[in-house]
Amino acid sequence: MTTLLLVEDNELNRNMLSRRLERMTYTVLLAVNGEEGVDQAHKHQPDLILMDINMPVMDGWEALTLLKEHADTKEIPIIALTAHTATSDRDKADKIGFNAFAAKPIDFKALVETIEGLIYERHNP
Amino acid sequence: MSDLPTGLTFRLRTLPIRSKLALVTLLVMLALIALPSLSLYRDASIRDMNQTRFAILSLDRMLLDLQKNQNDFINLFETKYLDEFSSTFETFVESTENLKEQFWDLELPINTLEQLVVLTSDYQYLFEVIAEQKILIGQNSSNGIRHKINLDLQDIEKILSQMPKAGLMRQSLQTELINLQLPVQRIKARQQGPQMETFDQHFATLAQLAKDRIADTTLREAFLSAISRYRQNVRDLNTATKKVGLTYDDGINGEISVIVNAAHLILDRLNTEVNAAIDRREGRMNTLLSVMAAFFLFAFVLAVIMLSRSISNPIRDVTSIMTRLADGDLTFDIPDQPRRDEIGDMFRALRVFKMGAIIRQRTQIALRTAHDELENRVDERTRELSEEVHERRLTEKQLLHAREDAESANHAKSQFLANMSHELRTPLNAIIGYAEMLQEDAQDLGNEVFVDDLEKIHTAGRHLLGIISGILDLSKIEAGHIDIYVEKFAVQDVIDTVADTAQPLITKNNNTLIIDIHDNIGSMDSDITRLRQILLNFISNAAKFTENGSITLAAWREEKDTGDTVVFSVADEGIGMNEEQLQSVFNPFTQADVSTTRKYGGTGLGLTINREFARHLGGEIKVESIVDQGTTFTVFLPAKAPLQSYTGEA
Repeated sequence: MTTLLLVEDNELNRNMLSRRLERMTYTVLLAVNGEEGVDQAHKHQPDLILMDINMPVMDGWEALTLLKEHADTKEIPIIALTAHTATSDRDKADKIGFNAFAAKPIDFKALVETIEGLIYERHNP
Repeated sequence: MSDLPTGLTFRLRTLPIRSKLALVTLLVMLALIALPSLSLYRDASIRDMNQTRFAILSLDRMLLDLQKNQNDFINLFETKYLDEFSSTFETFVESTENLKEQFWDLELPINTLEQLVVLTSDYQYLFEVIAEQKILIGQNSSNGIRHKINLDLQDIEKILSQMPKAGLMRQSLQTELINLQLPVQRIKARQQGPQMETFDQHFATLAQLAKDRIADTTLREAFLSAISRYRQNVRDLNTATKKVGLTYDDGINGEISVIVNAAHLILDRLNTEVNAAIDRREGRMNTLLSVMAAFFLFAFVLAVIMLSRSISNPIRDVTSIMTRLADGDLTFDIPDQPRRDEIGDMFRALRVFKMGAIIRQRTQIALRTAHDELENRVDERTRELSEEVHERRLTEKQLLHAREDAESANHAKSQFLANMSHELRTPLNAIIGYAEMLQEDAQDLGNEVFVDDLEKIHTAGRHLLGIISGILDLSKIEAGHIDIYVEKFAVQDVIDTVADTAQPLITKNNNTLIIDIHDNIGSMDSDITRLRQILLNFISNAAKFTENGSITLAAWREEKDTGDTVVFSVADEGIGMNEEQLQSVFNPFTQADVSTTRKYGGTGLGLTINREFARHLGGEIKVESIVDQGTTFTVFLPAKAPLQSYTGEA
C-alpha cells in the first residue's frame, strides 16, 4: 500500500483530491497546514507528500524546508501544488528541493503519473 | 604793483611759471651777489680807515722820534741827530701829506690835520731855533760860547799868573774866581736857580777885589777886561741856555713841548675822529647792508607771495575744480582764464577734461542704466527661473508622489488580482475536479446523459479558468511583473508539444493542422512557456475562426549579423479581418465585433498577451488578413532572448 500525505488548506480541494487518489487505491493522509503536514510526515513516514504552497499557519515553503532538514523526512519526495503559474515559483520550487511541480487546476492523469514515477524512483534508485 | 602799467602787470601775471621762477631766482642771485659785495666793500673801506688810523699812530710815533732826536741832539750834540730829525721830519711831513690825501679820499674832516701841519711847521721852526742856540752854546769847551768862556778863563788865568805869587792878592783872586765859576758850571749843567745873580755877586766881589788889590794898573785893567769878557760870555751862555730852556717845560723846549703835546692831542683827536669815522662808516655800511638785505628779503618775500598767489591760488582753484570733477559734479562752469602760462593751460586742459568727463558720465549713466536694466532682467529671470524650478520641484515631487501612489495602487491591484485569481481558482479547481470525478463515475456507471452534462460543466470551468488566467497574466504584464525564464530548447520540441496540445482544438471545427518546419530551425534561448503560450493562442484563435479548413503552423530561421531570428507563423482560412479590425486587433478585450464574441466566444485577451510576450522576448508580431480568405499571424523572436530588456508599455 502506498501512503500519500496531502497537505492542503482548502477543504473542497482536499476532499476532491483525496477521494480521487483513494480511488486510485492510494492511502491518503490529510493535513490542513504546513505545521500539521510536518507533524504527520514525522509520525507516519508517508511514501510521498503532496504539498500546497499557499497555506495558513505555515506555508508550503517553510514546511518543505523543515522536512528537507530532518533526516527521517528528507528522503520523502514532495510534489508542490500551486495555483501560481509564475516562473519564479517554479524556480523557487526547483531550488528548494520540491521533487515535482503540479499547477492547479490539476491534470489528474499527469499527477498520478508523476506520483508513480517518483515512488518508483525512490524504491529503485 | 598797483602803480605799474596794466600791460606790465598783465604780462607779469601771465608769464609762464618757469619765467616767474627764473625771475625769483634772478632776484635771489642778485641778493647773493650784492650783499657779499657790499660786505666786502665795507670790509675794504674799514681796512682803509684802519690803515689811516695806523698812519695816524705812526705819525704819533714819528712825533716821539722827533722829540727823541731833539733831546739826543740837545744832550749829545751830534749832527747825526740833527740829520735824523730832518729826515724824520721829512717823513712826517710826507706822511701828513699822504694822510691828507687819505683824508680827502675817506672824506674825513681835514681842518684838524691842517692844525697838525701848522703845529709841525712851528715845531720845525722851534727846533731850528734850538739847534741854533745849541750850536751857539756848543757842546763842550771846544766850541761855541762855552769855548769862549774857556778861552776867557785861560786869559784870566794867564793874567793871574803874571801877578806876584807872594801875597794874598793872587790867592784871594783865584779863590774868588773859583767861586765865580761855580754858577757857570751850574748854568752849563742847566741847573735851575739864580745862578746869574750868584755869578754877578761873585763877579762884583772879584771886580772890587781886583780894583782894590791889583796895584798894577795895566794888569788890573787887563784882569778887569778879561773878567768882563768872561762875564759877557757867561751872560750869553746863560741867555742861550735859558732860551733853550733849562727843563722841557720852559724856554723853547717848553714851547716845543707844548706844540708836541698839542700835536699829540691833535693826533689823538684825529685818531678819535678816524675811529668815529670808521664807526660811522661801518655803521652806515651795516645799515646799508641791513637795508639792502631787508630790501632783498622783502622783495623775495613779495616775489614768493606773488608767485605763490599767482600759482597756488589758481592751483587751488584747479584743485577744487578737479575735486568737484572727481566727485562727479559737472554742473559748474570752469572760468575761462586768459592766461598764457601753465595755469591757463591747466584751466584749458580742465575744460577739455570736464567735456570728457561729461561724455564719460553720460556714457556711464547709459551703461549703468543698461547694466541696471540687465541686472533687473537677470534678477527677474532668476526669480522666474527659481519659481519655475520651485514649481518643477513641486511638480516633480507631486509626480513622484503620484508615481509612488500609482505604483502602490498598481501593486495593490496586482496583489488584489493575484489574490482574487487564487481565490477564484481554488473553488474553480474544486468544480473542475469534482466534474472530472463525476464524469469518471458516470462513465463507470454508463450514464451517458450525465457524462455529457458533466463534460459541459468541465468545459465551462476550464473556460472560466482560462479567462481568469488571462486576466491575471495581463494584469501582471501591465504591472511589469512578467517573469521571463530563459533556457535553451529545441524549437522542434516546442512545436511538437504545441501540436499535441492543440490537436483537440483543431479537430473541433473539422480543421487540419499542417506543420511546416525548415531544416535549419535548430534551437533557441528563450522562455519556452511563453513561446508555447503564444503559439497555442494563435492556433486556438485560428481554429476558432476556421471551419473545415487547414491551419498552417510554419517555422524558419532567418540568419542575421546581429543575431538569428526564429520566425513562427500561424495561417488560417477563416473569416479574416478588414483594415479597421486589423487596427485594433491587439487591443485588450477586442474582437472583430460584438457578434463575433457571441458566435465564437473567447476572452479577447489572447492577442494582447501574445504581443506583450513577444515584446518581452525581444521580438514582434505582425498580422496580415484578407476578409473571407484568412489571417496570418507571424511572430519574430531573437534566437537569443535579451534578459528583461523590455519593461512593457507605459
